[in-house]
Amino acid sequence: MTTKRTERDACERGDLLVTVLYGEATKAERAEFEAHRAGCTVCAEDFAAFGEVRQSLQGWEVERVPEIRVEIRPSLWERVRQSFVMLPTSARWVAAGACAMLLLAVVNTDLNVGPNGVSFRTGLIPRPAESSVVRVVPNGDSVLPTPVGSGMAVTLTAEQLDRLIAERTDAVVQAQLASYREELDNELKTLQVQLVSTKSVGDVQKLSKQVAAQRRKIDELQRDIDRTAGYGGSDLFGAVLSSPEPGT
Amino acid sequence: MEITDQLLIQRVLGGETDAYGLLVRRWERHIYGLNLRMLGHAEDAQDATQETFISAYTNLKSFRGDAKFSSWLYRIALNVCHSKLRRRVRRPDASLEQQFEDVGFEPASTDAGVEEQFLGDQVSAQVRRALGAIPAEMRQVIIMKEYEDLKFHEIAEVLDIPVSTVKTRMYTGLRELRKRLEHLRPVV
Repeated sequence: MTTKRTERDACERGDLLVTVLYGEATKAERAEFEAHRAGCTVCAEDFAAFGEVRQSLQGWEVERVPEIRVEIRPSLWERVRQSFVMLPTSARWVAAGACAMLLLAVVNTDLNVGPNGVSFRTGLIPRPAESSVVRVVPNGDSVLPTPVGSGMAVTLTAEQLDRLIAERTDAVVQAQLASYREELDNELKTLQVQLVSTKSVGDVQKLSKQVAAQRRKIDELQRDIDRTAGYGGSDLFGAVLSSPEPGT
Repeated sequence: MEITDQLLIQRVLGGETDAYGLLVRRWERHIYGLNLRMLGHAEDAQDATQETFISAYTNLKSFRGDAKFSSWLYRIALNVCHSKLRRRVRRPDASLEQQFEDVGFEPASTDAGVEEQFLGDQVSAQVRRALGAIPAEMRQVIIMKEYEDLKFHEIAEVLDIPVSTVKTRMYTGLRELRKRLEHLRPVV
């Protein structure tokens, strides 16, 4: 078999050599390479030498992986959604209704398209006068109050408007969480009163279990409330995922 | 039974951000190893690993799932490494080979004898230097094959190049390393 040399000492069948070297060759390819190697000193030498190179490469071990910290920053919307999931079904409906009304407040605005951009009237912003005008401008522009007619004009970036809606939604969800907590507290009190007044051993055991379960429920909810506290005030939060030290 | 990468990704995309921590822990050793051997510098490799996982999280929605998650992750890691290597070239305070040589050694194993440890460190240093001296396109193929144990077609998928090109780079890279590591024979 003729072998073309592509550069000094290199063999054109190098791809076949590495296929065999790394055990990915078929039976036919192995036979083809063996036949070739018998007549090619370059491949014969390379094949032997590459084994030693591979052995040397294994001398570089990674014994220790340092701590890899990945800071994940979900959006405010994502956080609001997470809070929403915590609510019991009934409270979700109430919150969803409140959010829908809030969104309707935005939808039911008086939209105007003019040479200065897009503007619309809404009840979202506290109004010192009869009405307010919210002007949506591209992100990054500064907020510049502009008097329009008899009302107060407030210019917001699309991002700020989005954030404003998210904050209001967040406030509704947080209020629902607090109300749910109060509901659970009242249920606990009722159970405790029943426990004190009962005389049957069976009822005492049953009520004690119910009280314990109710406390766990309240603790879990409180943890969720604590975890999500302050969503409305900041646009981002950091959930740090850190890896354990090796061996742990 | 271990939860698959795909299932964890679905959880993350469904809002369960904690599930991403499991993916990080599952792949951090591989990605750090790849980055360390590409960059030859422990701190850079740590930074690159963090960047890789943050970038993967940010772009998780674009992961189509028709390739393996690991292949996608390796590709991101290599992009991060190439970007860091380009910055190094623009900041020529030391040659790449020199930078590979200058890095600190991994902490010595307490089990190894002093002489054995010394020889091990020598081999490790020579390998670092030799790998650092060959072109990155060859280095990445060798690292994925030798240390990550990927098949040639998997490497081709990560790099989005033909398998034949992967094999050619492997062959050329091994020949380069052979020249640079020949003097190690008595040590090995």
